Amino acid sequence: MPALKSSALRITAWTAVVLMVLVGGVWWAWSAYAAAQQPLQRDRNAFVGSNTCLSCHADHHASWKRTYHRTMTQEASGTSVQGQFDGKVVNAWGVPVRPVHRDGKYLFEYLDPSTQAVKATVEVARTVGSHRYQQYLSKDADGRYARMHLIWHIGDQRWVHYNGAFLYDDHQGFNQHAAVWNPNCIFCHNTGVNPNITNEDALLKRALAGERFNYLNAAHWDSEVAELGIACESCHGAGGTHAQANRNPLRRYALHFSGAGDATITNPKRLTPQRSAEVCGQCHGQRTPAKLEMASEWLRSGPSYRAGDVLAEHVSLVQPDTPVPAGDPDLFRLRFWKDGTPRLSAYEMQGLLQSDCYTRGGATCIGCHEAHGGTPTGMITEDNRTGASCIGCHKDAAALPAHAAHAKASPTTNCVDCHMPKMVYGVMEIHRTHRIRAPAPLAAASNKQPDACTTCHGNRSGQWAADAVSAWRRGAVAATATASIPENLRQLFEGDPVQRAVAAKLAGSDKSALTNAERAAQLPLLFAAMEDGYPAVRRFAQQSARVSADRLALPQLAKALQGFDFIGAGTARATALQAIRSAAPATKTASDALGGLLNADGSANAALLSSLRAQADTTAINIGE
Amino acid sequence: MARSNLKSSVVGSAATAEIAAQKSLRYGFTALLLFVAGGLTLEFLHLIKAPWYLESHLRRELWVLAHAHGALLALFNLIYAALLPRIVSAASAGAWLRWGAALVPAGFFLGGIGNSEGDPSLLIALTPIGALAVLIALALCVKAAWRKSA
Repeated sequence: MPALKSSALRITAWTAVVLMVLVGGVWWAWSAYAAAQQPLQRDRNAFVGSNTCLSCHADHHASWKRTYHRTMTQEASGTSVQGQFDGKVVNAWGVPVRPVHRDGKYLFEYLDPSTQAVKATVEVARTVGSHRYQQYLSKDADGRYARMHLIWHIGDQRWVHYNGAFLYDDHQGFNQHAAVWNPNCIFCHNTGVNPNITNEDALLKRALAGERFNYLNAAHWDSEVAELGIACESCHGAGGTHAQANRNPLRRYALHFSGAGDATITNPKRLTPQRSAEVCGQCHGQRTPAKLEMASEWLRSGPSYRAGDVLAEHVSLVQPDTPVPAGDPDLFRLRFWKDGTPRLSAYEMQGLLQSDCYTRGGATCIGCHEAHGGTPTGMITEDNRTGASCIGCHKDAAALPAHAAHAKASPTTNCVDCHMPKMVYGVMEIHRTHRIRAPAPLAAASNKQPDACTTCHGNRSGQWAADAVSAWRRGAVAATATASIPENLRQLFEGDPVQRAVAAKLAGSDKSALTNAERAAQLPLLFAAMEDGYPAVRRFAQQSARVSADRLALPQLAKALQGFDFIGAGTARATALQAIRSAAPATKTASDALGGLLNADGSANAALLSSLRAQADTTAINIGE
Repeated sequence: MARSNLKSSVVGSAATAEIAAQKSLRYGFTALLLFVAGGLTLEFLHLIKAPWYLESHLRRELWVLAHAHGALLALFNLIYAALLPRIVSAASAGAWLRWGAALVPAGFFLGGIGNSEGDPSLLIALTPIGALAVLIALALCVKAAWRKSA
């Protein structure tokens, strides 16, 4: 009897436990299901940071972590600072500056030019950039992060004063490009931005009272960002609601199995081509606030655009005719080639909007680029870098006469070489245009802008290129050279600063169609371009000469070229150039006079160069970064 | 009579324990072979840099868990088989332990097939079921151990 009682008791206990577990499970499942059904109001400002994303999106987090997006802005530390703070003095625009690493701090010591005594010491608080060059920011008591004068060029492994990094001439002051991070760089180089100007009303009162003051120096800031650098929520929108909602496993599995998009987060791949491109375009398309009054809102609480929004409701993309509120009325016009094609970096969106691939084909940024794939440089796969994504639409492209003929003559030439030629200046480099179109060499020449044909065939004119294309279309042989001045070289001396910079860089391009003999013939002209009044042009000409020296196996010339400092003092540059010219191989009779740019003995025709330079457009371009 | 019943009960328990031990030995060694070979396979996937394995953090984690749990629970089975003669009344735990030792790694492995980035596939449900079975087996062993000592 006791055994029976004990057995009944045991069965009852087990039944109770099982029932409790069952009821608890059903209650949990039901509440989770009910929660999953709730429509969610997404909080546009609930930024949570990439670490929160990591717990569920480890693969995407890892692929983002290796990008230069992540390291765009960083606190100064041993891992972030790339510059050599080794105590060696850098002389820039007449001011000696000593970058030094002391007591764990990265410091710039500004020295007295005559006594070399330290006049001021400024600590680096943050770094901006980690790919091409790195800028350094100091922080003052008013919350102002100021850009410091020297940048570290990562490719060249040297310090450069920012006068040499931007497209300005030699006549700049030491402080010419002083800039403040809080109302500028903060917007595109960080995530969940809040500049938070704290004395805007006071400044406005002073301005209305007629007081003149330096706004950058007078403004006080309490800037905050959800995350330094360009992180998940820059492209996917604030993720707070998403993270909260998806703690519910039923919601996650329902989304996974239904294949439906999650309304609590933006996935650019699920957006229309226009909305998708705008996610990138929020930064890769220079812009102003859509309405003037929004400027104040931006300074107080940051831009209102979030990934997935209609970009035009928040910003106006800068166009050649965009009104300039103050200062040079041509400021924006000069940032475009004459046919409206952008010629500066960070205008990729504007270029794409002008492309048939976008307007007719629906091509968008992520058709070629991959935020989570490819190589960090350009965030693109090697296949797409050479135009593999074009084949998706242009299946029969290889059969076109121009393509077939060109492929025969130059098998390594690919889609982007001709349809996205390099003609954009930015961050001390020449980049591909994102206005995708067929080359039109004659139109480009008449607009005084570079084109794919004559920058690659650097010893040919626009007319030659037009004749060649026409001949291919007729199935005839290619055109013969004309006696005209080659277009790229004409622009190297006659063009405005951007033209000259592009021409100087492309004159020695690795992918140039020039033969070694043609490269050698061009050297005296590159040396002449190294006398340009713009440091950027000199640097590109020097780079092109070095590429050619390597190609031509001229080690003495290569060594002499190393001694040329494109931002050195004028006298030092002249001395170095003299050495360079001496190290160049003796000139022989030029087989091609390059339209008269070369004398019969192969030297540069100084008179013609002077004449071209006299016609050059000297308009300052005023390109900051 | 009572003595005879007791003797036959003891003999019966010993026979049952013997069978349970034999089953656990078979399972233990077979599973150990399988999951050690599985570990080798995972290393091979590293060797050939298989992107479908290496680039999914969750799949990697789940399959490593499957390998580790499978091998460890196989060892548990062997230990159980070795100790069973000393706790013959734990013979009923053998089936629970074998099922648990199979279901836990199976859930981890299958959860890493067809998974999303943040969640395993639904077959991960086998893992907690298996874990429950292992727990029950352990509870039965504990009970048997205490009974013997008492």
